[in-house]
Amino acid sequence: MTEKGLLLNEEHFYDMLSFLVSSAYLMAQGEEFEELYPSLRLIDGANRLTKYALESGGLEDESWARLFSNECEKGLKLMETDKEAFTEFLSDSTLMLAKEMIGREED
Amino acid sequence: MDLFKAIQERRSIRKYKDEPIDDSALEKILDAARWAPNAGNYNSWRFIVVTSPTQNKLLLHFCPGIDDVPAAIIVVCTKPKQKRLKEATRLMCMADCAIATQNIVLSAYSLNIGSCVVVSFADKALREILDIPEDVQPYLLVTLGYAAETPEPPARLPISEIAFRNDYGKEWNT
Ligand SMILES: Cc1cc2nc3c(=O)[nH]c(=O)nc-3n(C[C@H](O)[C@H](O)[C@H](O)COP(=O)(O)O)c2cc1C
Repeated sequence: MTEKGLLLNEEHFYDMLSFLVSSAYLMAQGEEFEELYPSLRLIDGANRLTKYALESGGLEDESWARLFSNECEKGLKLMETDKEAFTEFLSDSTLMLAKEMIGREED
Repeated sequence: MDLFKAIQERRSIRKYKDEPIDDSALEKILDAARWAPNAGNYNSWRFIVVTSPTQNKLLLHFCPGIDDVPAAIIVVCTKPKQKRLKEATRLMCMADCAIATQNIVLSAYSLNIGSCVVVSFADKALREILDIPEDVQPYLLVTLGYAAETPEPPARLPISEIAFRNDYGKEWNT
C-alpha cells in the first residue's frame, strides 16, 4: 500500500468539504427519515474528511476544523431527535464553511 | 440569428473554455434580461454579475457539480414588501426571474456564449459570499462562457403529450 500522493492539499480539502456540505444541504428534501438520510451520510463523510485532515497535521486553521467537526457531531445526533433542527444545521453548515472560505481568500 | 433556431439549438453547457467574456457582451445580455416581461413592470429583479475568478471559484464551491466558469449571473429579486400577497408575490418574483433568465440564455447563445441555468446552490453560503441583503432573494444562477463541449439535445416530450386543445386532456391535433 502506497501513501504517496494520497493526501491532498488544503485547497483540495476545502473543495471536497464544500462539495459534501453543500450536497448534504441540497439533498435534504423533506422531514422523513428517507428524505434526510442521504444528507446524514454526506455530513458524516464531511466530518470524517475533517478528522483525517486534522490528523494529517496539515491544516492552517485547526481550531476552525475542530469546531466544524464538533458541530457535525452535534448535527448528526439531531437527525434522531429533531429533524427540523437537523435541516437548519445543514444550511448553517454551508454558512459556517462559506465564512471560513471567505476569510481564507481575504488572508 | 433566427429565434426558433436559437430556442432549439441552445444547450446547457457544463464545460467552458478558459476564456473571459468581455463586458460589452455581458452588458448586451443584461440588456436582454431587463426587457423581459415582468409582473406589474416592477423590475424587481437584480443581476449580480460575477467575473472575478476568485469570487467565482468561491461561489461554485457551494454549487456542487458545477466547476470552473468564466462568468456567472445570479438572478435575485428585491421582494416587494406587500404582506398580504406573500405567496402570490413569491410566485411572481420567481416567474419574473425565470423569464429574465430565459432572455439571458438565449441572448448569450446568439452571441455564441454558452450557458447553464443552476438552481442547486446553498443559498446561505451564496448570500454570505455575494453580500446579498436579507430582503433580497436569489433564485437562479446562470453560468456563462465559451462552450468547450457540444452536448446532444436531451429529448423533449412530443407536442401531442404536452399540449391540449380547449380542455385539459383533450387531444391537440392540427
Ligand atoms: C430552473 C432550472 C434549474 C436548473 N438547475 C440545474 C442545476 O442545478 N445543475 C445543472 O447542471 N443543470 C441545471 N439546469 C439545466 C437543466 O438540467 C437543463 O436545462 C435540462 O436538462 C435540459 O437540457 P438543455 O438545457 O440542454 O436543453 C437547470 C435548468 C433550469 C431551467
